[in-house]
Amino acid sequence: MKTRKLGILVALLMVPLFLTVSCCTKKAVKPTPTTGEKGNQSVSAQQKGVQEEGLTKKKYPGIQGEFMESKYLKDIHFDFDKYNIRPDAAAILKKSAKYLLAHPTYKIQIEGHCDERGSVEYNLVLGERRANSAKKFLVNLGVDPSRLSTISYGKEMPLDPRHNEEAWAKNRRCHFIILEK
Amino acid sequence: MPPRWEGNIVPKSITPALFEKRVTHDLWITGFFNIISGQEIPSSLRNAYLARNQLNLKSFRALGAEFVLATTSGVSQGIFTIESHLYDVAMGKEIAGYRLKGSARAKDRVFHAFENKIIYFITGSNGLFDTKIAFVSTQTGNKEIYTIDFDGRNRKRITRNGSINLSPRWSPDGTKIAFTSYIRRNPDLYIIDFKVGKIYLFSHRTGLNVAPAWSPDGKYIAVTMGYASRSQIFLLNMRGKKVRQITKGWGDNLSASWSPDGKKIAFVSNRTGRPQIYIMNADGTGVRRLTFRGTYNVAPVWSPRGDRIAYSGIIDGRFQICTVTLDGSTIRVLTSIGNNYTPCWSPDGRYIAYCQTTKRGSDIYIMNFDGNFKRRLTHDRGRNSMPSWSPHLEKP
Repeated sequence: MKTRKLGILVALLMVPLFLTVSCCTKKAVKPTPTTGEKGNQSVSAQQKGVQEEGLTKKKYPGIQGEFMESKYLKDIHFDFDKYNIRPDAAAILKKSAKYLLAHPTYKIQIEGHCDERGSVEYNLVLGERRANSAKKFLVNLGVDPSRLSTISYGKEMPLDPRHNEEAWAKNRRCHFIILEK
Repeated sequence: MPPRWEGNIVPKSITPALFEKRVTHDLWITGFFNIISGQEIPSSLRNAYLARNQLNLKSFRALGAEFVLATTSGVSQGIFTIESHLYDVAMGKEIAGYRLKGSARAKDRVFHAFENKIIYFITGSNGLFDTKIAFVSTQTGNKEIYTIDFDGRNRKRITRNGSINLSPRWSPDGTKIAFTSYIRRNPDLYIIDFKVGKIYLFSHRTGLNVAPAWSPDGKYIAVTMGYASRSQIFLLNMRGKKVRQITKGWGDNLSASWSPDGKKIAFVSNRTGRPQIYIMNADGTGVRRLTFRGTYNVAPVWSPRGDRIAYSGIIDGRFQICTVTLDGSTIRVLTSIGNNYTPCWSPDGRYIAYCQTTKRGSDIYIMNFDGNFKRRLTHDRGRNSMPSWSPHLEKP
């Protein structure tokens, strides 16, 4: 509980810092704003369609490395004991591919997740299959496979901890994180 | 004629009442005994024994007793001693008299040796009091590896990395535990070496390094790893080097378990679309499907007696522990409450430990191999899962 609170606190502090950094690297020509103009800067970034605002660094407890998440990389979902890409997931992945093609430096990790039913080990294998399905789909849409790594968390990181159909449907997913910008 | 008590053993720190409570509990959990408490024995019988060392075994028969256990214990100069006499009521004579000593700081070990001997003299094979069960617990908020003694005492935390730790598996000699951990943002295999007191990275191929299965001779570990975007079982030597790929063919193959003679391996495959249990020779040839009932059967473990395989399968919508004979003909369903996962056998094949999840939580249970006499082993607030039973850890 303590660590989670700390994590959120850190994340909030990082927001303005990251806006500054991303803006600087993207638009080197633009004069760097003074610290007092942070509010204005975020508005101008939005107007220009710079989409990476809110990319805050996160960390999973006990797992090395930091990562970022983007609202433009949405989770996709699967049926029980299945790893095929459903039509609703395909529509999401097409948008994700566009985002990735627009940000060619981003390195992405695709996490395969499962619901709580079945053995830990079978779910690790199933999660790997789901991540691989998503990767294959994105590669077919033109994303360079060297930018996409996969990892399976099996049933170890449920999004919804409840034990019912609704929770299970949410937990059978691929989640996309940005390891490098 | 029973022998007289020897020595000047002064009871200290363990009162007779505490001693009896402990031994009663420990003998009860084996499932072999109904215990008649010392309090229920008529005082005339007790007094005759205490005062004159006379044991009228015929009168114990009237109580329904088949065996009588008379013990004394105490600490003297840092040495904890248990002296014990075991009588067979039907035969009308003492069948075992022995004295066990050990450091007073390690009373549990003396107790375990004492209790193992009782089991040995009555059943003809060793008790399991010198065995431990490794498992995964979320007590600290994340999944760490713990061990607990067969009698439910001496719970110990083994890993302290704050990460996700899974699938602990004892080596056949009981000196190591292999497990999977996500410390390096990949499910890598680690080995805890209790002799050296160290944890080291064993296999860290990108992707899965999971479901470690030690060969019975301790020379190899069969590991489930990714290969060509599927999962296959590979044989690694103790330096972590790939010796060969064991499984081939369509679908995912995973969760190896060796036969006790090391000649065959049971595993899970979804080559027909749904996970089922299969058997093959240890070199990957001669694959045959073992389970045909149900649509989801996983986590096979080969009995140390070699005659059956336990697994977890969906029956009427929930996961139950089952056993199946090697020809697939006889399936027994051993559990009925909640969902039940990851069975593992005691080293003598008499018991199965498993994980039971209900609305209340998730705990390790032990039952007889026929499904009788279920008892809960873990009693903490964490969610406990993935038991692995050690071999005997003391030399007989």
